[in-house]
Amino acid sequence: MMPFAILGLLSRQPCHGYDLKNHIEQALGGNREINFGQIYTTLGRLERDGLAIASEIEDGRGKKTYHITAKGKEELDIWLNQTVDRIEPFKDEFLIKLLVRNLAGYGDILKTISRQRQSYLQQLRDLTTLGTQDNGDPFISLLIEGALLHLQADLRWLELCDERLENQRTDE
Amino acid sequence: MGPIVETRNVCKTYGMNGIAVEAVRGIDLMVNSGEFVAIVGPSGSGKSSLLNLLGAMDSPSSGEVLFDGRSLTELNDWQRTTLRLKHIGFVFQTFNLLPTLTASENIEIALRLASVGRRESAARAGELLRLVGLSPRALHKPRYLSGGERQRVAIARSLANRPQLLLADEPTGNLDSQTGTSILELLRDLCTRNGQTVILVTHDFRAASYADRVLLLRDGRIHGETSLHAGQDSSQVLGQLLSFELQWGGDRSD
Repeated sequence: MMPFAILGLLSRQPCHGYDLKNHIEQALGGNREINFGQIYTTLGRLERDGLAIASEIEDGRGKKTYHITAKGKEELDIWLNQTVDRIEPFKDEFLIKLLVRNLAGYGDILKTISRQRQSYLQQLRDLTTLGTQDNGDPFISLLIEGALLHLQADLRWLELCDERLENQRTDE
Repeated sequence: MGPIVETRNVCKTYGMNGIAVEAVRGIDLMVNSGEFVAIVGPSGSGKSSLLNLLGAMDSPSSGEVLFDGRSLTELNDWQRTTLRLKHIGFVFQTFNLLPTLTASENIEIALRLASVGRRESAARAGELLRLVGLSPRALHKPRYLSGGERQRVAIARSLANRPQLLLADEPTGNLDSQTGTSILELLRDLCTRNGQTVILVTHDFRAASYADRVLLLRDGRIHGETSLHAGQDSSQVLGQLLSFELQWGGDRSD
């Protein structure tokens, strides 16, 4: 996200590293501090890839101003217009744990599911508590709401796992 | 002090046209005073049947339901009715307010039925409307109230006779997400601040997460239970969410 956030800001106007830090921190509702190391590492990469260039300004302090290149603008555009796939290489670590347990014949699958359910429910609780504190920032609210919806889906899926794997056990 | 409500191997079977449906199949549960318990299950899991048993609206086919240590099977119809009136508060998905009465009157009627005098009923109704933040709407009839407001009146009504138990059946089912959240927060508050014992029956995990304890219902049986603690420090939670967002995208060759 960081490279594109920076390109996005540069596409509006050239910036110092310090401006970039401030803008991004503001966009995150002041809830997270970005360190300069992250900013400058990203800027270095963008320069290396020809997506941004630095120019030194005549203020004697040696502060560089960063500009987006035509290639940078193009990359940004492509990325912004690309749709996001939900069908990706399989990533749910929990299902992998279940598969491994099943393969290895090791441990209690239903107990594993129960513990995961506890964890998800507690996370749901933590997030709903967070959600009640009015953030005011629409993107932060959407982020929280998104996480809540995902957790609800995860919990419904866990119930399905529990049901199907329990039946499988009694069938054996 | 013992549990407010307890079931011992309770079963409920419905028979129709020679076909028996086992809605509740041997449930043991216990809810203590001041607890907020959620019973979560999909439709067809036996949620409503279990709720009817807990609320003394129905009798089990076998097993026992005990309210404040007393078995409900010992009670006759009249005694069960009185129990529901004076000791249990009900909140339904469809609000179930009387349409010809105002918000205040809907609450007052619960008190008058319990033989509370007219003046005291009006005063208590006023107090409860204040508690749920609806004093300005006291004289409105349900059709002039929003869904969320109707549910607040229903909650106020359910508390009229200071019930030992508040039973809520999908209270947010007919409400939009934001309004639903405010209703759940109200229930949570009533438990945390006023020590109200609450049992919430729902299919929604998000609603269930407001509880101290979550019981999982499937095919008429409790197959799991989880205890929850109050939300952890919010700045930490938000920080975690945002960490994810800040990870390097795309090129990870470094």
